[in-house]
Amino acid sequence: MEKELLLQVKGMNKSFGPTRALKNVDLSVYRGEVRGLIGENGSGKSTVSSIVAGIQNADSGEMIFKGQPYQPATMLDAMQHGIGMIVQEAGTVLNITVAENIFIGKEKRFSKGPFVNRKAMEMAAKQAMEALGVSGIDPAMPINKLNFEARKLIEIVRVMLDEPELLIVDETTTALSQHGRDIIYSLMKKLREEGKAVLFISHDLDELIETCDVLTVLRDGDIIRSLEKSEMEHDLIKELMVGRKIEGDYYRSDFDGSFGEEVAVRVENLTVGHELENFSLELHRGEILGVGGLSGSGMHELGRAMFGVDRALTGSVTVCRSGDVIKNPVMAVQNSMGYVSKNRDTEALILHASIKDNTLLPSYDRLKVAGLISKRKADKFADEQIQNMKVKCVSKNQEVQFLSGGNKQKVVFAKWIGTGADILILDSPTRGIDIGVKTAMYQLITRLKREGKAILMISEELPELIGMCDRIMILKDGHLAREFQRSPELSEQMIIKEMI
Amino acid sequence: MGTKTKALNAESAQVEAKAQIGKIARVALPYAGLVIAVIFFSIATKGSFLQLDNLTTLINQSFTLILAALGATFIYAHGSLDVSLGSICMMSCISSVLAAVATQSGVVAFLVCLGVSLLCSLIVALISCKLGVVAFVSSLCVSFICQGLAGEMLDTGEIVMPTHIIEAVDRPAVKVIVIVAAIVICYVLFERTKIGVYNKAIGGNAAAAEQSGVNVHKYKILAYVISGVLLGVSSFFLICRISAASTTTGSGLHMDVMLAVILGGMSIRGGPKSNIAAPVIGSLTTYVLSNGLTLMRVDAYYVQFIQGIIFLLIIFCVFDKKKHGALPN
Ligand SMILES: Nc1ncnc2c1ncn2[C@@H]1O[C@H](COP(=O)(O)OP(=O)(O)OP(=O)(O)O)[C@@H](O)[C@H]1O
Ligand SMILES: [Mg+2]
Repeated sequence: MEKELLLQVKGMNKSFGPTRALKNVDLSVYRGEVRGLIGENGSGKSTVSSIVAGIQNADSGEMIFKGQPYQPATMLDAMQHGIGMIVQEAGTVLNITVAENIFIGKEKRFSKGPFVNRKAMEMAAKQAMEALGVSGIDPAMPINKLNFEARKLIEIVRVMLDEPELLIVDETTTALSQHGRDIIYSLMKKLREEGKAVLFISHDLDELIETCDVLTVLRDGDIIRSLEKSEMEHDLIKELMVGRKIEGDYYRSDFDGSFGEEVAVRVENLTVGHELENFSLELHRGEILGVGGLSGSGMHELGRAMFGVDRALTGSVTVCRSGDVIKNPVMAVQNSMGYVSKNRDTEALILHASIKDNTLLPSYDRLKVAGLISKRKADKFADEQIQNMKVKCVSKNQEVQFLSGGNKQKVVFAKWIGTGADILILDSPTRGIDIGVKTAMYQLITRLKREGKAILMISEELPELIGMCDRIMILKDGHLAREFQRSPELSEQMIIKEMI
Repeated sequence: MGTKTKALNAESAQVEAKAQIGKIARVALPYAGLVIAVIFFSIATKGSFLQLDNLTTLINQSFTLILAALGATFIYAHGSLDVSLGSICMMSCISSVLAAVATQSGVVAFLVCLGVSLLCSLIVALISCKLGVVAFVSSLCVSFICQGLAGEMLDTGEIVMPTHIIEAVDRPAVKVIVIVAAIVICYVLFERTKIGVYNKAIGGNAAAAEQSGVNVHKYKILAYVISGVLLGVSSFFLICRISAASTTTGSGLHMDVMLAVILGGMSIRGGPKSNIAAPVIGSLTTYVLSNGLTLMRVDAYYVQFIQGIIFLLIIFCVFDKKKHGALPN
């Protein structure tokens, strides 16, 4: 069968100030194809796909969609042409219900005169969700009550209502549990079979090799090469991405699951909402304790409650050295705790502030000279953190909102490493981070363990938990399902069995 | 490197230069506006704008606004919209005069003025933080309460500050010292202490600030303390200049402050881009305009009309309307 061209991008350029995000990019996507896009953080993946989806304009270059010149003015315009995108960051509208989010801009369908028939809208929303296999979400619920994963699923439902012929999925899967991922995978498969196409962005090599027909590698705004299925192979992809061979271990190489005697944080009989019930754990110094589970298992709520973000209904979180019972994040930070939130843009970063201001935030006390914050010390501190984490940016004064997703995550990390937090609660720490940096980050976490820091690693990525943790606690419906010790025999299958 | 890439590099350098110029222009515009206004009026009034007499008047006029706006900037920085400044100013002035009449002591009058302003500001802060009411509402309530109380406190229409206190306080030299000190202290507090940087962070994203260890309520309240102190000082100098306090003293101050801050190029939504130069530049510009136009014998109504147009122009030029407008929506 002859492949039919769906979208063609020719000679696309895009600069942001001094950053050349795209350099003469050519890209062709055919019908019936799942096209993967991979590249280091800041290589231009989101930029090219958001231009295709009408979110921003290119500086130069042209696009041809279904044989016609195509230049979308807005996202809506792109949608009407048949191109829909699920963005990397949260894309739902707060303070309105699930149904209203799904039918945003389409309320007319349900209106009689000035009134909107809510019942009908909610029914339709339920049907739309069920059609994609999304269940257990009440369409009348305000979107704020939902967790990150559910919100992402709502976005998918919304985009699919318009029946796009080209669906762009920008690094959505890293934030999702297996259930959410399966929904996306089967959706992609269906689109491919219908002769539509998908542009799929991810940092997970296995996932890409598994799902994609063709994989295109971007580096610093250049298309480096497109690989056919038979050519897709880990080392080659990595080399193409980074431009040189990557050596060394990815995860920890040792299987010594020992850790310090001293308990750093003691969680006793913790109950949070309906998500977590009567849960206890001890996190030791020098330990990497993994927490895994499905999306409703309560693992994210555990992290939030330990840092004092969410109120515990019963039970306590005690930092043993000081004896303090953590009631709020301020106390947590005073006790040298750090928290990498899963809700990066809304809770972990001040998007309009500079990289410098973001990294300094918990550390001002140590940057003082004679009672006043020293500019020189502050600048030096920020420069060091940016270098340590290899944040790709124009300068430390660049606003965080202009960084690529993975680089934003590095800034969050830099903030806590910089302040020397010795109890780290990491929720989905490597979310959206490319493999090169991931390797560095795993090395960093291993080093922190050796330095005697206590690390709680909450993650949906089982390989990451198996590869990094001394102990893994698997949660199910708010209770501990099973605990695993570090061992070379541990496999994903063994863990998945306990999760469902 | 091919010629094509070179051409592209040149192009991107151009783009960058443009962006930089745009940014500098936006930051510099409020200053430029002030300088242009001063030059314009100097020429248009054939120099009388620059005469010592007029400059003294100008300092006198803008002095109280600068002080109040400096303090309010701390509140705006964390994203609160306070509408009680005018009423608190009135309350402080009336209390101060009452105390002065009773004791004949300037020190007591000053302390009462300061204390009342601080107390009222704290009440606004506590209602906002402890009861979780937005500042707009809590300051509106306090504003009404002040109005009611003031009417009760004044039997006659107005009361007058004893002249010996006025003579001691209302001097250009004192004002110059106070204003310079206030600007320096506020700058240091705003840029070099946690009070300033935390309030900016809270305005940027309160949840992220809290999760970075910022005690949000504490630092919001501290912002109100600073605002209360500066408003108290400002009110004391105001009453010593106008000598008589009534229920209309200070009315509209919250509006003047808000406009001054916007004129100075800051968004009253606050956040990380707040800066302490904005209230100073903005207040000066406000009074240079009204003073200059009056000197040119423009009718008072037209002065307001022209001011309105200029405000609009500046807001139009300074703020990136798409991304972050000046006003909360
Ligand atoms: N609005 C913007 N303003 C300034 N620079 C930007 C903007 N958007 C993107 N950039 C820059 O352009 C480059 C490409 O960013 P892009 O978001 O496309 O990367 P990405 O490949 O999606 O990375 P990631 O894997 O981290 O999501 C980065 O260096 C980024 O800092
Ligand atoms: Mg991206």
